[in-house]
Amino acid sequence: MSAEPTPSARPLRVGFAAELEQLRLQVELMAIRVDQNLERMRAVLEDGEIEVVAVSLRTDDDIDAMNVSLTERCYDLLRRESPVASDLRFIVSVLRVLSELERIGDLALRVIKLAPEHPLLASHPPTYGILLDMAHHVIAQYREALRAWATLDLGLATELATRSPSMDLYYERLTAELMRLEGPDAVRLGIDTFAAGRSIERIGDHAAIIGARLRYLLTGDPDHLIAEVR
Amino acid sequence: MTVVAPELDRVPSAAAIRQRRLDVSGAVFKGALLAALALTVALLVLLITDQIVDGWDVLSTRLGDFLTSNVSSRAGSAGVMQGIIGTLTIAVIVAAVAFPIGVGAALYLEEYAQPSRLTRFIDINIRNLSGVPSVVYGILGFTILVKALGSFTGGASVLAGGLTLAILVLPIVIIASAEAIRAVPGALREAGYGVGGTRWEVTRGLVLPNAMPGILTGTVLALARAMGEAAPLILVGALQGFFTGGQWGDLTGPFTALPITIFQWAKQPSDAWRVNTSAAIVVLLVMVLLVNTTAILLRNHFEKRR
Amino acid sequence: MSADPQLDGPVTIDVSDGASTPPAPSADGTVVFDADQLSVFYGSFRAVRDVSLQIKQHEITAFIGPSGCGKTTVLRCFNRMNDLIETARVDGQLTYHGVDLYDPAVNPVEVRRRIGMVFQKPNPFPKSIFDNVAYGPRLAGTKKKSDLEDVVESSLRRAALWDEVKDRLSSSAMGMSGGQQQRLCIARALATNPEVVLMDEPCSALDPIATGRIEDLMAEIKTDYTIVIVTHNMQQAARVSDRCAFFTTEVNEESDVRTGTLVEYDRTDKIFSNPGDQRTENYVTGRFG
Repeated sequence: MSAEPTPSARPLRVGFAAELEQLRLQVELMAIRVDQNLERMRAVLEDGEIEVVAVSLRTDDDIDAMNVSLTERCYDLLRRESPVASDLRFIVSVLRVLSELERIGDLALRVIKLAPEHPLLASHPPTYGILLDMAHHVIAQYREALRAWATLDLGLATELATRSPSMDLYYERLTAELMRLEGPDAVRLGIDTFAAGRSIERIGDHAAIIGARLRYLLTGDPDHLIAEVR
Repeated sequence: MTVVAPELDRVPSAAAIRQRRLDVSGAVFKGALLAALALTVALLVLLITDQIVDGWDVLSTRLGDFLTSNVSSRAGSAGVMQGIIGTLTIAVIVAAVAFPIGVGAALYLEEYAQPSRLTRFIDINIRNLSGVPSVVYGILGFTILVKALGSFTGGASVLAGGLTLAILVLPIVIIASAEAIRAVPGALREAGYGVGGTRWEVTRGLVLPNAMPGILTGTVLALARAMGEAAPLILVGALQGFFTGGQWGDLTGPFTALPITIFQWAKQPSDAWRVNTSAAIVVLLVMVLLVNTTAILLRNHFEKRR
Repeated sequence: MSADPQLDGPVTIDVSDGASTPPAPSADGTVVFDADQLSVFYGSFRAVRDVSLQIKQHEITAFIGPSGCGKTTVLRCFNRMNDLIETARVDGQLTYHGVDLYDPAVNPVEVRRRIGMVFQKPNPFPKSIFDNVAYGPRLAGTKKKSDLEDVVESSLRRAALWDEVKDRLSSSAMGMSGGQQQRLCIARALATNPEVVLMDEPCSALDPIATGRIEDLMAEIKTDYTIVIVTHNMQQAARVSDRCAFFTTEVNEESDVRTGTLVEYDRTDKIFSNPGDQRTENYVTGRFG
């Protein structure tokens, strides 16, 4: 978004500016909904509460609906206002972020749907512990992305974009543990743990992409756009 | 007819739009304008018909003779031929002298000269000159053209008279031409310069044709004025009584002009002369009308090509 | 250095035999105009100050900016049209292929044959379509009827007007629509075989279809000419130009005098995606003025 105007400049296209701000807030709202489901994901991993599933499904429907309506709003703004420079970067970034948020929501839901398998997952502490750590880590990462978006903080965004993928380390440890699984439930446990771990890892990826896209939005540097595609 | 207060009627109904308010002042104004026009036309018609009626005897019975006879002391055989020749020659001299010099001066002032205090001074003075009484030009003409340049002009000749009147109307031609040239749209000049025209090419090929209708209108006014002037010609020495001469092409000999003839005959007491005077006036009016028509036709021709 | 108001100077820039021939096309990147600290004064009022930029050959350069910022004033320096305004005076340097345009020995008439101009409101001559296009070449010395016919046809073809008027070349130009008249003015400017075409808001008086035609035309002729266009239409600048120069007005605090100045000059894609100067960003997004 554009920085502070020069002192002598008067704001014009005030309606358009207000709509852009509205859009930004709505994206934040959608991100908060996603955060709710991420929290429920953590709860499911920790306690395995089945009741959470129904609520999560409804929240996911909300998230999808918001994605559709906000995407349409972006197209509408593009059509009506012919934005350029930072305005154009903003709207195109919003479209990207909406897509990332929707994916994160889907992935969180996938883990939440594993709630019935909780006893099984919790039965093997080594893998279970890693899963919980991964969940905590990724939720913190996501909240950082959310904070960066809300405050348009370039420093936070850069950190998110350039941080070395620590999720990879977790992932390696997890797969290493999974290799060592034995016993009658090993396959089932392995599949469920792997599915949960994969989903959580990818949530981390998407959070990093949000950070990278925010960095491009703020700097406008084409190199930052390229860096988004890892 | 009800008059609805405006603040109560922001969304007018069909009836409200249809109502007519009496525009009294508008009607009065329109009436006054019409009256002014009617009065002017009426005066002109009155003048012309008055003269035609008064001169009818001569115009209807011996028009040809009237037009081809010289001035004479006898009313029955007096004619306006020398006057016609004199006035037409003067018209030609004025057109030939005042038009090129006047348009040239206007072109220089508007297109070539850099605006400065001097050009503004000249402009103001030209306007002042157009208001100088014609008698003064007569004195000027007498002193310079008749006396000083007598050997060239032949003294009190139609040449001296024509040149005097040319000087008289020159300011009118310059002012009208300058206005017309000033009114040429700048876009036309810009287009001309834009394709690589020199100042002369743009002036001659684009500005002058575009300004021609206005210039010709000014020339028409000038010619009509010149053809009707009597006072300067009297001072220059136009003859009023009987004289031989004043034939076609005699530029340096004695001369007369229609306004002078009219002036002379108007002083005579008898009825016969009164009739002659009116007939001569009609002839002069017809001449002026013909000259004007020619100029207007020329102007329309240029107007179409704009 | 002041502008020489006399338009009939004796010496020309380069030798020509009547019809002007543009310099041979050279590799892209050739600098056509080089302005160095160019300022334009009207009397004592400085309308635009310290403009420094280079116009490259076979590119379309757009001048954008708010009203009164000097874009048209600078444009009219390129073909010495500011000479027509008595009080106009130029400071700094402006060269055309290395030649100082305001050198007293330079003939403005020759300059204008090589650097053509199209104006904001279509201003065809009150003559036939043929005579309009042939006017420039005739002044330059082309006399033979067949030569003139060739020039008129090629110019009208390049202006995308030939098919519409080829059967009525002798009819008056004043009877054409606004869009056609403007294309006629473009043909007229192209008829003198210029190297550069300057366009001062050429589409501002035209409807969108006529505008679109002229934009297409600009893209087509770009390979043979160098075009500089002043435009208020930001989308047009973004669409057609390779480079953009953004001008703005600076207000002198005490005297309240507004002087135009060049803020940023860069490739168009940069100006419209991520301009370097905040003032440029404010202007192109239109959200601050």
